[in-house]
Amino acid sequence: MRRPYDLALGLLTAATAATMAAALWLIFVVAPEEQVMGAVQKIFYFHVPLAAITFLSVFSLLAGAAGYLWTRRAAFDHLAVASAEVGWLFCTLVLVTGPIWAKPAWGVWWTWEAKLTTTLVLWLLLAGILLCRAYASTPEQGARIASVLGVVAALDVPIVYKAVDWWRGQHPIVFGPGKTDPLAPGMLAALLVSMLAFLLLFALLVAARARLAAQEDRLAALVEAAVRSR
Amino acid sequence: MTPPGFASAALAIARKDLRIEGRTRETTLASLLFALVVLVVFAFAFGGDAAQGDRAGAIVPGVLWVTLAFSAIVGFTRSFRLEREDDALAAVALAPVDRGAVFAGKAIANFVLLAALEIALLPLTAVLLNVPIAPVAAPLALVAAIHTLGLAALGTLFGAVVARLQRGEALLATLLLPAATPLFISAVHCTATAIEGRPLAADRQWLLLIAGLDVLYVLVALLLFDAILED
Amino acid sequence: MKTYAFLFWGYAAVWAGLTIYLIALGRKLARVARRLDALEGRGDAGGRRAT
Repeated sequence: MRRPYDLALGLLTAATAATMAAALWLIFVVAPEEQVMGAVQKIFYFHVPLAAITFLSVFSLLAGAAGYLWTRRAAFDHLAVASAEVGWLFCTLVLVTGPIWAKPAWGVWWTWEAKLTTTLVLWLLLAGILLCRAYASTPEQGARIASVLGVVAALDVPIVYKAVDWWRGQHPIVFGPGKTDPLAPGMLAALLVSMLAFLLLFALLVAARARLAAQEDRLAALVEAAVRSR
Repeated sequence: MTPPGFASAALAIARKDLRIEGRTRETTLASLLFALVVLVVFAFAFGGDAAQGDRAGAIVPGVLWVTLAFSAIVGFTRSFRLEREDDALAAVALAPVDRGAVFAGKAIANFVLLAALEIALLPLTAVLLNVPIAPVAAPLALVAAIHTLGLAALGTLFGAVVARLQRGEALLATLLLPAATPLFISAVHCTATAIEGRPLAADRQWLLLIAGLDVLYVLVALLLFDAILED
Repeated sequence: MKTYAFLFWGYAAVWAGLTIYLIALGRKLARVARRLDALEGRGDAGGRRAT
């Protein structure tokens, strides 16, 4: 008899797979090719959801970190570490797909515009948090330090965005992400389904990673008990 | 003995740190020397004399603040390593004072040391990069002070975090600099305004933002310092 | 075609990243589960915490 958590995880996996398949079909078969950029534009259906979910992960990181600092319940820390790791992964993918879209679209790999810069800073902060966990002397210290950093990082991100936005306002923007044309109906559907697919994927990965964290905790506790009872 | 109040505890800690620094001078000398070296490297990087004159306004603020950023990190690292080396931090944390006072005291000390560094660094920069700062000393000082407050607060916060990690010092730059992005963007921008002789009032929104951030950083640090100092 | 090359690398990167992470997670989970089973088999004889 499978435990309810396993069952939920299984359902989530199935849902993710199904939605992702639907998204892929919509993206590559149904959605029309964009007139100007052609096939390359389709990376947009990956890049935008990945970026949106990355910022969602900052919220879940904040929830986990603040919750842990407040209650010291392990479940919050599991959420925090899972959000930080999966968020960092998604952030990496955003930073990889972005330039791949930017080069054919705007002619440059990178520009120090607010969204891109903030994403890069977020990537650095998340990497720092993950490294701190690795360098901690005990898991408890790692959880505590990472939670403090998680709160600071989450609070910092909107500030960074605003600051870069103001800063860029001082310089004329020669090129960059301007207002995108209104999406054709086929495109909108593909984007929304893709968004849902990545959201489910994020939930799945966070759940799995949190599960791993919980199992590792259990393992550590058992090892400790075994050592002590010897 | 009644536990000291917040302000007196903070000042006592600040005074202790500064007295140690005054006696050994290890942090100030190391950071000053480091700052000078970085300045020289930048001069080479930007072609020496070519970095002066017209290009000065574009380059000097950035050079100044990058130099400060890295020198500050040298300072923050040593500030907490001092304590870690003989578990003094544990003793401080156990003292019957609000741990927030520990943060406040150390942040004040760090601010004073950073200010001292800047007072030494700015004339050096003026000489090496031929930038006239005497006529703009007042606005420049204001810009520096406001931004250094924020840097001291963030640096003390992150310094305490990495002090308890193995090989933590390597992480300080990685953590502090991205988090301080708004601070540096504003610092470079306002410093450019000041150096080029334009009125600071034009940058009112930046200065207000940083003043607000300074308050925010201090509040957040006070809130979180208990959790940081637990071991 | 140049544009298709970009596209290919983009997708490849996304799928590679996600797949690598999923595989790594799966392996870690399996390893931990195996160790847990082994320990719990032995742990039953000694003291076992109520989880």
